[in-house]
Amino acid sequence: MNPKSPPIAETDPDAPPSEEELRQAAELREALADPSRENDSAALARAVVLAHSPRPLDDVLHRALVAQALAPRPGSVTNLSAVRARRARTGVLVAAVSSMAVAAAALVFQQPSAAPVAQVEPETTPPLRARPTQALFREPFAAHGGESARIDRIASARASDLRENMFARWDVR
Amino acid sequence: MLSPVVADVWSTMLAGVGEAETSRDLESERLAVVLAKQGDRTALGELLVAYGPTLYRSVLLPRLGSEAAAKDALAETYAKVVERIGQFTWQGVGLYPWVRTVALRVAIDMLRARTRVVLWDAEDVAAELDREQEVAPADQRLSAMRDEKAARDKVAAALLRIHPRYARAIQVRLLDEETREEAARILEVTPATFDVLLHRALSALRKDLAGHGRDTA
Repeated sequence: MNPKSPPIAETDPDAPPSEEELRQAAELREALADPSRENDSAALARAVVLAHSPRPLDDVLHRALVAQALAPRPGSVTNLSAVRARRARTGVLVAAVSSMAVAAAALVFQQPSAAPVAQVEPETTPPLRARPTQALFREPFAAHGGESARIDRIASARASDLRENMFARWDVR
Repeated sequence: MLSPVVADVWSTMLAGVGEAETSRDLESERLAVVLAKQGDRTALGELLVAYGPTLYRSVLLPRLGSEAAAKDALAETYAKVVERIGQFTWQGVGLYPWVRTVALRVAIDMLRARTRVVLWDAEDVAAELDREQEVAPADQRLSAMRDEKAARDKVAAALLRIHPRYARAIQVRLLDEETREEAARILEVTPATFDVLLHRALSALRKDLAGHGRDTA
């Protein structure tokens, strides 16, 4: 067939159908009767019908759509929870890092005074053992806020530990 | 999905709110918009209930050509309106033109993602939206009438571009909604032959829409 000439069905709508056309016509008829069947021509047929005579929206469904749009989005709740959880985790992390920094600082600040206490027998005055900050906090952390207060508490406790260790080494207790 | 309790509460709350087609006073609408922008969800719900049926029937359904797609688009439109109502500026013509524009943009996105040929494609709707930046439809009812007429004109123009016998088959079976047997009788063929005729008619229409015919409607 000449590719530039239209198929005979376009020029003669009543031309005898091919086997393929008969099969496709049967598929179209079935798809028009059963919307669950996938068929491009049936989909176009429905689009033509809906453009020419659009159907109204079911009222109950519409109200459900409105309610759904206005209801708090699950994603938003999750995000908010995630934000709060992240903030809480950040607070713990900040506290942990701060306590490590305080401990490191304690070691650094300890160095200049190491020489005088070198003569002190460590066996008789054991230093306080390193320990987690958990014991400092009996109450659960708030969802947000309070980080500065917690860091202050850790710093204060560790400063106290440092003093105890220094006094122990100097044997002034 | 919406819980039955929430749906029931909203159904009760929104009961009795009619469509905007039943003469919504512009001033009361302006007040509802003010409340909605302040976060009053009942006010926003009333506005959506008022506009939804028209948006669905006149704007989304004809352009998307599928009830399922139109419902999805309406839900997406509502989500965007809820999200962006704070950005809306009252210009004395009501909320509908703005909501309609949101709906058209949603329709454009959906049409761009679609592979199947329907009456409109994304570029058709985008061009329509561009034209309306100059002459925006103000009144909801007039706008809806214009949208529905545009859809019928689009169908009529498409049928004019295909063989008259194919156009007649589509007219009788789909637009006049005659039964298969009655349509066959009107076109003076057997029902089996009418099936072939309708198949050929829709193939010709699809070919036309996929080609040059789109932008000439």
